[in-house]
Amino acid sequence: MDELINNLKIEIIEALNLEDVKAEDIDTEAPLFNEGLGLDSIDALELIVLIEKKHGIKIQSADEGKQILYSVKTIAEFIIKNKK
Amino acid sequence: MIKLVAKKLVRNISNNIISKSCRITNNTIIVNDKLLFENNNVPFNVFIKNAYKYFINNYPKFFKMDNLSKLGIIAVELLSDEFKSIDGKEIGVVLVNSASSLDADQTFQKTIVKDNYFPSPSVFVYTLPNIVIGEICIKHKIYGESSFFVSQNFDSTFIYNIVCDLFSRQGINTAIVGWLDFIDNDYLASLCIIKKISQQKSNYNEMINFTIENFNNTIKNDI
Repeated sequence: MDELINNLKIEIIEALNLEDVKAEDIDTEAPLFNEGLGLDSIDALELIVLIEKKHGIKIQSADEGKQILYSVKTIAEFIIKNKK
Repeated sequence: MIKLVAKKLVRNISNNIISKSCRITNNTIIVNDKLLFENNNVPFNVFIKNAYKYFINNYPKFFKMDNLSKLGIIAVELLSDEFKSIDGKEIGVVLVNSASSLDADQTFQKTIVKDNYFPSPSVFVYTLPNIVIGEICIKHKIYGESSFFVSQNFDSTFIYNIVCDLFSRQGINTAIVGWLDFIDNDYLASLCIIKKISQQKSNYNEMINFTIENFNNTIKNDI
């Protein structure tokens, strides 16, 4: 789990072009949107693409997505739960 | 005779002016013909990042933008002291280029290849040339009329008439105008601020009159 969380942080920084943000700057349990990293709706779409591209898992519905993309921890839990 | 003199006076005091210009090309930034920033022997992404760090450095959204928007954001930043005290509803933007958003289009195309089909939403949003105007307007809270024209060359007369129309019919008194192009790491931003001047303002003696010829000379050098 720890390794996945760290890799996710690195992937998020790269995919969202978060300049000057390091993996250790991202609070694993903090909300990714509005507060925390202050991500927006386009970033949310980019995260959905990232999860599918890097981890082979599709997020099926918008409601589900909202909960999954809440924090790095919730994304990691979703990946572990759905890994084939 | 008296009528003619009066007319001439009115014309002089209502002349529009080119109050400031900015040119970014070949790793240099020139404002009002003075070299302000130079970063030799580095690719565009390094040059523009260094320019951002030097001139702005507090707008992280910059790093999410496409190359055309980054170029426009830096150029307009260097002109912004000319309009920061003006109501955003009275500022217009008119930009022109020849490559449209082809740079972002090509980047997006790489995300939709047959065996690696993951369309990038954050690249897709830049696949229109006028998105750069949106980025400029968001950063500087500009709400006036704007247009982006795609044309092989810069037609000064056409753009001159567009600006005059903005000033006469659209409630605009300041316009950010010029050429903004990026393709295959070849880039040129050549922008200027055009102001509608009134009788109240008399400190524009050293400014350039907004005539087609002066406008052409200001914008067109390297196009």
